[in-house]
Amino acid sequence: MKHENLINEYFDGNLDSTNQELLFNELASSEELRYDFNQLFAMKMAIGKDTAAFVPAISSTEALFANLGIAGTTSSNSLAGFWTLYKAPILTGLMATMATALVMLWLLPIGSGSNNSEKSRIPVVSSYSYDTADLTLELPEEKNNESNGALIQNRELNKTKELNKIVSVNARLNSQLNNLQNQIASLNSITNMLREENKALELSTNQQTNSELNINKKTMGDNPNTVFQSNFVEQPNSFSSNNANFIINNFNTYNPETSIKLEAALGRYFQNIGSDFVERNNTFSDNLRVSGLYNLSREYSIGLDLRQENFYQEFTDISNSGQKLIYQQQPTVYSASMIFRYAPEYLEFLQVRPNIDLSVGATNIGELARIGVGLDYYLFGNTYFYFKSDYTFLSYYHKNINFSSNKYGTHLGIGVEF
Amino acid sequence: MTKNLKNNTDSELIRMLRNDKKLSGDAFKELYSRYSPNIHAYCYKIFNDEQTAEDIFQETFMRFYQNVKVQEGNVNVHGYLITIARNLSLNQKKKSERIVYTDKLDLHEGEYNRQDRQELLDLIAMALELLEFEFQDAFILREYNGLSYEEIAEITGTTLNNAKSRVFRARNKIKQILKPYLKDLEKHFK
Repeated sequence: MKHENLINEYFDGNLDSTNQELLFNELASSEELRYDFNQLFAMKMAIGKDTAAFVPAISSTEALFANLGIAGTTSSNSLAGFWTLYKAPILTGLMATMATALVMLWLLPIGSGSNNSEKSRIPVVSSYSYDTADLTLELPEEKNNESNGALIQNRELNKTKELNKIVSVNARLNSQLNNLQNQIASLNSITNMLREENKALELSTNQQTNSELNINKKTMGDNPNTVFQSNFVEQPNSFSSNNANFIINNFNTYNPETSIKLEAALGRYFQNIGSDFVERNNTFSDNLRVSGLYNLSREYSIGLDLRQENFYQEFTDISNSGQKLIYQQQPTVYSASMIFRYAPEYLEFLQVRPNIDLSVGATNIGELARIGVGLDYYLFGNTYFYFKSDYTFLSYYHKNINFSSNKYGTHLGIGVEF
Repeated sequence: MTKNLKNNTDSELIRMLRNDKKLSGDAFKELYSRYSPNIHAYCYKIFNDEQTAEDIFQETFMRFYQNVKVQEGNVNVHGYLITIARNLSLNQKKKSERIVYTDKLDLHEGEYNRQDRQELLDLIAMALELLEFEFQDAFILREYNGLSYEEIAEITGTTLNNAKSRVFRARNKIKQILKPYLKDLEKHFK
C-alpha cells in the first residue's frame, strides 16, 4: 500500500495493526511523510471545527417555511437554537465567574478579615474647622489643639447610602459642642463595651469556622480517587467529523473581527487616604466590575465598563463665619466609562495576551479617567481569566471649586467571548 | 404550537408528512432540524458562495417536501436530501463559470490560533473549488457529511473502490494545491 493511502486509511480508522506499525515506522524515519501526516491532520481538525458550514441562515429557514406555507420558526425556537449553540461558553463562563468570585472572597480582606476589630467601624465623614487666620497650621495639630480654637467633629454613620451626602458643618453650633462632647464620651464608653463583645463573638465564630474547615478537609481526604483531566482529548485515530451534532456541540464562535467580550471582576483599591481618616472596609459589592467590549479588530476593542466603587474625597470650604472647613469622606459611587482597549498581538505568548485600557467616564459625583494594564489568559477556547491594574483619576466639584482624587486598583476576573 | 417530535423516527415523520394534515408541518420541521446542518454544509462547501449555497439549500428542501408528499414507500431521508442537493449543485455548476480568486487569501504571521484555523478553512474551500466536481463531491460527502464509503458509492452511483479512491485523491489534490500556502502554516503542525 502506498504511504499516502496508509495515512488516509489511518485517518478513516480503517488501518489494521500491521499496517499501523508500518506507518509509524515510516513516520519515524521520513520527514516528508510526517509533513503529509501533519497536513492531513490539520485539515481534519480544521474541518471538524468548521461550524459555520453547518448553520443555515435564519433568513433561509424562514424563506423556506414561508414558501411551503409552514408556520415559521418561532422566537422560542431561535432562543433554543441560540442556547444549543452557545450553552457551552455561557455555562463555562458562569462557572468560572463563580469560581473566581470565591477565590477573590477568600484572597481579599473584604468585610471581616485580619482587621476584625474594625468591622463595626464605618468611618465616614470627618470635618475640621479652624480660623482662616491660622491657615498655616498643620491639620493634625489643629485637630488636637483645642486651645487654638480648633473644633473637632467626628461622626459615624450607620447607613452606607448616607456616605454620598456631603455633611455641612454649621459653625454656629459650636457653642453646643461642650454638651455634645459629654454625650459622645458616654457613647464612646458604650461603643467600647460593644466592641469587646464583638471581638469575643468573632473569636468564637472563627473557631467554629476552623472546625468546619477541618471537617471538610477530612471529607476530601476520604475521596482519594478524584481525578482531574481535560474535558477534550484529541485522538487522531478515532477522530471523526461524521455528524453535525458532534461539530455543533463543540461550537466555537470566536471571530476576532466581530466578537463581543463580556467580563466580570472583583478588585481591590489602594487610595491615598488622609492619616487621620479611617479607611472604610470594602464590601463585596464595592469591588464589583462588569464590562462589555466589541472587537473592532484583532487588536482593538471598545466597550462599556460599569463599576461600583468608592473614592476618598478631601475638599475644603469656608463657613459663613469665615472658618475654613475640610471635609473627608469615602462614598460608594456607581461609575460608567467608555473603554478603549489595545491588545498588541506581537506581545501574545503562551495563550496570554497583554493589553492596555484607556477609559473616560462619569460617576454620580464627578468625571473620571482611567488607564490600566492587564493580562488575559485564554483558559479555554473563548474563556479567559484576566488580571488588571489600573490608575483612576476622579475630578469633582464642591461649590464650583474643582477637586480631585486618585487611586490604584487591581482586578481579577473572567471574560467570555461570543 | 409546535409538537415535539424528536423521539419519532424518520419513517414516522415521513408518514405524518404525507398523511397527517395537522402534524405535517411539524414533521417537516423536525426533519429539517435533523438534516439541515448536513445539507447546508454540503451546499456551502460545494459552492463556497453564500448566496448560491443558500439558494440550492432552500431548493433542496422545497423539492424534498414536494416529492416526498406524493411518493409512496420508505425513504432514506439523508440520502434522498443529499441526492437532491447534489443534482441541483451539478446543474448549477454546469450553468456557471468557475472563477477562483486565490489572491484574497492573506496569511498572517504569528502564533497558531483561531485565525489560522479560519485561514486554513478558507484555503481548503479555495482548493475544493479547484477540484473536479466528482472529487469535490466525494470529499465533502466524506469529510463534512460523514458518509461512509458505501453511502458515497450509492449516492454518486459508483463502486465502493471508486468512491474511496475519489476521496483519497481529493485529499491528496487538496494537499498539493495547498502546499505553497501550507508552508507558511507548517510550523503549527509540528
